[in-house]
Amino acid sequence: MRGKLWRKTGLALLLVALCGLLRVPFEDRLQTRLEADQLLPTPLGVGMIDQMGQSAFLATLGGTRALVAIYMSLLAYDHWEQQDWGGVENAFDVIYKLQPNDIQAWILGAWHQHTNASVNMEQRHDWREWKLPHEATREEVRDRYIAKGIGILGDAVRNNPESGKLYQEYAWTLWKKGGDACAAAEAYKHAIEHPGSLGFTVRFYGYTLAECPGREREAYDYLLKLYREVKERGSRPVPSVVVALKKLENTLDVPFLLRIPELEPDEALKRSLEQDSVDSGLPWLP
Amino acid sequence: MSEPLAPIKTMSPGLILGRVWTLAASTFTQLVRMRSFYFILLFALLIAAASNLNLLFSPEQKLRVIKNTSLGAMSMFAWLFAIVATAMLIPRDLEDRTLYTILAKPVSRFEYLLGKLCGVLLTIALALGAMLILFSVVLWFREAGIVAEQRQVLESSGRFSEQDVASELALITRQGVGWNLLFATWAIFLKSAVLVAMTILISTFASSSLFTIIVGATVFLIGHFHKLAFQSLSAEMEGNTLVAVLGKIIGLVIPDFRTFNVVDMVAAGVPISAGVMTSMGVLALFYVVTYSLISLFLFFDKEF
Repeated sequence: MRGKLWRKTGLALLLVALCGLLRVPFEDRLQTRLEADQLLPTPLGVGMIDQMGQSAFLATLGGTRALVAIYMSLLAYDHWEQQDWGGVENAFDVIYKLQPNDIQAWILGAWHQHTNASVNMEQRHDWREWKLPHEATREEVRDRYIAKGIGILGDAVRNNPESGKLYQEYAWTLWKKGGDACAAAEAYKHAIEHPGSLGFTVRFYGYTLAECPGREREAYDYLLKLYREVKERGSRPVPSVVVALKKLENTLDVPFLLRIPELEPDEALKRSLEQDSVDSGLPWLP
Repeated sequence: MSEPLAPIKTMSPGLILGRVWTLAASTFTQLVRMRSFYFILLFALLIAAASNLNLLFSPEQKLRVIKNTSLGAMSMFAWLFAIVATAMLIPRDLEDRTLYTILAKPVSRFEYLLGKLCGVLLTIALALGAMLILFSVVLWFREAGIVAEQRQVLESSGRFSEQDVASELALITRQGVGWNLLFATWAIFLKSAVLVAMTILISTFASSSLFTIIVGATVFLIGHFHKLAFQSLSAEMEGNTLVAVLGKIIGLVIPDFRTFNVVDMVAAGVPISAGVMTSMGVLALFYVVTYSLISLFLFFDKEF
């Protein structure tokens, strides 16, 4: 009887394999379609086992990547509380690989490096324990973390090239943290072209162009176009646009007659300043 | 003396369906008595915990956490239940001696297996449906609260135009309740259906439920990465015929569960077409039908 069971089991396996011959071509075509539609996540490399641990790696194989990502978020939070920036970086590195389309995770992970870690390392008293192989200054250590944050956002936009919000964050970080106005201008340009970015990116593109050496003329023409569009609509131009244009007029030595008028304070601001003067007893000098 | 029933009457489709439904309903009752639906209480606690988790999350991340936790828990419940509960069905009937009683009646072995399959699938479908409704309600309320809060913050700051406010709120609502949750649940159900059919197949030749559970879990795990593993091995050991042949054979025998791993991306908002969903359904049906027929082949003349 046992022999008969083994024979039948062997025959059943053979039948499964024969059915597999019918199944596999259809399955392969379906998987190709799913990969093309970005419905199947990118497989994780075996190297991820060291980063996330064996159990977590096995859990991702069962299709529970999102759960593992949440667990890694808990770990990252714990590392953040202990100011273990290497731990934060490693945990977020796993999260990016598990969920490369989670835009907020990229933004948060980058923020931890370019803001939290950089400021912390610049100010903490035991920063020398984290110094680079050569004798590094606080500023160098700070800049290293800022560069890491910028690098993370660079990877983020490569993984999510359609996200205006990511380009917006990348541009701001390049500009304010990295001091690279030219690269920031390019990023703001992408932010404007893709959905998800906020309205101010239209103006910030102009401001960053203005700070990029050699592109002042381009910045002036762009901001002037924005200024005229607002005036034609009958609205009040944003003060920062006027300030930027005034600065560029001086830089480019624009003829006096072609310059835009100075910005008058709006009525609400005038009344507020007058009221403050009355309340404080100090003279109001318009 | 009464005439014996003509065999043809017991084979009428209506009677067959009736018997299969009776067995399915009885299997469902059996599984409910095993307190399998208590998991839903645990699930409710999990959603409550997830909706209050705040690890420096942005508004859209808060919703995403609830969604991912819920769908992850549903996935785990579905595949665990599919393997463990199914593995215990036939051995349990054998222990309780109900198997002999059922098969002594004019119930064919085919109807018995089909009834068991349908019973487990019905239980999983109802459980997933209940969990989907529960977490959709929680997600809907949380989404409404977060959207209202964010709208107030953005509008009161005075720095954002109407378009910007709408754009920010759209990013949040994208992570809220939508049809994608139903599609994700459908993908979870399809995977568990394949697992149920596979586990029934294993249990028809297995000697114990523990053996079935272990083999089922191993095949489930291997089914997620065997193709990719052999592709990498083949690339590293180029020209090695043995590896290529072994990979092909394993690919033919072990189901490829990776095809059903669309839950994460669908939940994230990647659109899925009706054609793709139908193809996945057809594939799952193929697995279920072939495994069921092969199970019948093994079970047909099995002696108890």
